Amino acid sequence: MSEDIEKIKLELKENIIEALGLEDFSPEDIGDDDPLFGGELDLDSLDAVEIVVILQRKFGVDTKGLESRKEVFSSINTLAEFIAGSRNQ
Amino acid sequence: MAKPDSNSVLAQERKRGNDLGFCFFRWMLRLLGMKHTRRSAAVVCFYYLLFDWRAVKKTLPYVNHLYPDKSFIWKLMFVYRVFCSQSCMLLDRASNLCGLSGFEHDYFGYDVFRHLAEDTSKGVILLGAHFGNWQLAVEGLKELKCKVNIVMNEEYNEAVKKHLELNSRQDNINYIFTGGLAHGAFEIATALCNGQVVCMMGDRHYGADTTEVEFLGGKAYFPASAFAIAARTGSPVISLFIYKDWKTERYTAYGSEPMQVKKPARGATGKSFEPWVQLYAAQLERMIKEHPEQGFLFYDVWKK
Repeated sequence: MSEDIEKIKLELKENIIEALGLEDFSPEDIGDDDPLFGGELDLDSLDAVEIVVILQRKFGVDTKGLESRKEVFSSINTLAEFIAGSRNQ
Repeated sequence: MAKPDSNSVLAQERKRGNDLGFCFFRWMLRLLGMKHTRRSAAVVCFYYLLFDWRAVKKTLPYVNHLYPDKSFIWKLMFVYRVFCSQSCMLLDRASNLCGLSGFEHDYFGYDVFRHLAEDTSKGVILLGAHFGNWQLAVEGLKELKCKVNIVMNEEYNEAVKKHLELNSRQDNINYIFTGGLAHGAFEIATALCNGQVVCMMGDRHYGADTTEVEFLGGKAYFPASAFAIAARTGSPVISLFIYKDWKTERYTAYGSEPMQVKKPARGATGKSFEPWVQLYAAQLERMIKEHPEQGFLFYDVWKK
């Protein structure tokens, strides 16, 4: 399970870097608990759109009802837990 | 998208319309019918023309760009026409909500939208404007066999909320308010990714990043947010305008050809979407020139 989570986190970071064009960042530069919005990454509202697209199209997660669970978008950790949880359902 | 402080400014601005006024016109509609209620509303509009100088001032940039060569008195009379036209639109909406009338309308290009909205997995962005009866358009969207999300600023006037049923969650309509985290971006993206329709206004930026476009003979500033979102989700964008033919009392819903926006490079500004925003502005300008009294741009879009 923890191996799965670690794999998801790495995939998430790679996808975010690629989709958002964060050329100056590598997966190691993004901490698992770093805030995605307002932290060093300082993602904006359009990046939020991109993250939802990644969740659905890259990870195959059902995003229905996600709009009311904004805490999921806090960090890589919360996103990874959400993906793992969705896959286990 | 919207900056955080824009909502508080809007909250201060939105004071018109109270519980008593809405009830009065609803009862007028029931007791006297549309014709006489419109006459009463025309008197109220004249009061606004004389005593609500703030409302007049907000309408003048639109009239100045539309008719730059006309005299000031002529422009004031046109402002009154715009006020009366809007009051008729609001009464049509109120009459519809009371169950006194249906939403009589024709379609132009709407089938393309309907087909896309009901069949796509990438969702559709409907780009409206403060033109015609966009509030009544919601009634038409209720007929769609898919969920429709309407993006708007939080309505602070409780009377407007209650009487126009803006915040009620009913049928297939859901309201997304831009005041929350990431300005509603999560809700918008989730809706589009689930193949739903998202309706936004394309002619007023509410503090969002803007793109400079040619509009009614001047440089105007329109938001590029809808196109920026569409580029990321791969959703088509369709402009939707609803105008009224005063002779037949019927509305026409005009839908543009779908616009498919390409994703720009990271860090690209709103300027990347300029061709699309310009296309939308040109469509709106064409509509406004055909029905100038139905343009409700109570905001100086020519001022950055």
